[in-house]
Amino acid sequence: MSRTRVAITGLGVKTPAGCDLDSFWATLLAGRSCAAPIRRIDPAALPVRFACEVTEFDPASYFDSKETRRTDRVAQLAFGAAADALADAGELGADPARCGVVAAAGVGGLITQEEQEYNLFSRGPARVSPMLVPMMMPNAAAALVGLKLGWTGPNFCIATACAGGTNAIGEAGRLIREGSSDVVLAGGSEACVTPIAIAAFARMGALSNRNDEPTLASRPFDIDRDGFVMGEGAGFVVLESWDRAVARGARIYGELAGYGRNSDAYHVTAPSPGGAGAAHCMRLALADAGLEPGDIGHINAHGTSTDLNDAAEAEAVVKVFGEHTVPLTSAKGSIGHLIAAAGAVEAVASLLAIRDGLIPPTANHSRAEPELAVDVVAGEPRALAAAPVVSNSFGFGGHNATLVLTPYTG
Amino acid sequence: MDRDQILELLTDAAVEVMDVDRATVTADARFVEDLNGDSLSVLEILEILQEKLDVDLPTEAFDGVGTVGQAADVITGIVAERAETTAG
Repeated sequence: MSRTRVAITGLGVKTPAGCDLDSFWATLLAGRSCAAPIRRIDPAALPVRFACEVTEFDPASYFDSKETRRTDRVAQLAFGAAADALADAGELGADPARCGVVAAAGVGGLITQEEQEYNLFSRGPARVSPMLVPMMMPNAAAALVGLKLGWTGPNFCIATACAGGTNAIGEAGRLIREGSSDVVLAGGSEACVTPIAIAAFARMGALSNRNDEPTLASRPFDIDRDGFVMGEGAGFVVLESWDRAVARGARIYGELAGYGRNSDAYHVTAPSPGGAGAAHCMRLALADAGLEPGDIGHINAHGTSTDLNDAAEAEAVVKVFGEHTVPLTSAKGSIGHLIAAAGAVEAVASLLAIRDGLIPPTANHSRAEPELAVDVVAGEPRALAAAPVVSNSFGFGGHNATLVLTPYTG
Repeated sequence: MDRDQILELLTDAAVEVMDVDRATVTADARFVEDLNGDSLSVLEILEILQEKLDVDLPTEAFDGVGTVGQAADVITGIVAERAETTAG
């Protein structure tokens, strides 16, 4: 018996590069950086004072005032992207009990949590908002999407840090394959441009310090990279069983043909030496798709612009694909690191690359590091022949996740 | 701060939280049955009043409170009690 194939039929994003597919994609293709001085809070006292923020999102487009009051920005961004993906997918005609939601979260409703912790310490426990728990819990975004749509199928949150968005889409594909859902909205969201998050990531040495030139700060695989740039946003996709997508005449962006996930079990933040865990993860995804390394046309890299990640990922890619073979890009040069949303937004970018036959350049990648033997697309977009794309995400905790997305061939 | 003023603040908060027409927020109006509220709405309204009045409004004090007027009574009592404590 052949296994159930999984089609991706709707895409939605809320990103620093725009809140619709066209502006998001145009920004990536232009290789433009969205990093800028932080606007939502006063960053003066912080060691890092820039980020990639979502500036065009208006909650009123999706929520009434009551809903807006009761939801953290992280859930609002998630629902916005999910609703857009759903609209993009067209009329589904699905049984709500067969519709699921898988949403990744990194830190949950941190904006609300920080505000309320301030209330606790400055004015006492009686001033803590009664709404704090449902606003800060990491599963709030998954719950909100299901609640607003009336979808009663499987609904859960994935928390694998920066690998979350990719894990969410992969696990959603599994729900369809195993037959427990016909349609799943899957993705991730993050909204942690907050004082504690910026301070904490900066204290780890994970963030770029280029306060004087934010637009040059995120430079994946570049020899002068000095850390990642904090981003925020959300990405969601609609997955459905292949047969129902074809039967309803849906526009199919691509097939989720393969998914790999594993753990480094090496260190809580550092990647395993030589990118061994990441390499194995990519091999798992290729095997799941029934493909060989030589079949892959493009890699959408995790490419955070940190010293350790980019070196380990490049080594992992070389292990699996050979030196300077498959063209690779990182969206993080343009939009920064969206943490749990990153993998979902990058899956959207991968599917748009398949749609248009174009690989966006890696913003700010101007000087390659000779030891990193990978072919980084930089400067301008590069043509992509119809071929499968690999999208990687790796998270603190040693979580690795890889998707293989293939073009629709009828 | 007398009961009428507190009723006014409660009305503002009820309109904001439950997105209802101001005219429907009478002293007899019930938060859940009459005003589009749910189990969390009263807590949200109390949160707003705490900020406006700069006074702690413990959730337990509102057990059994169903209408806007009943909430105004409890809050008026708490505010008066605090005024006495501060004066004493």
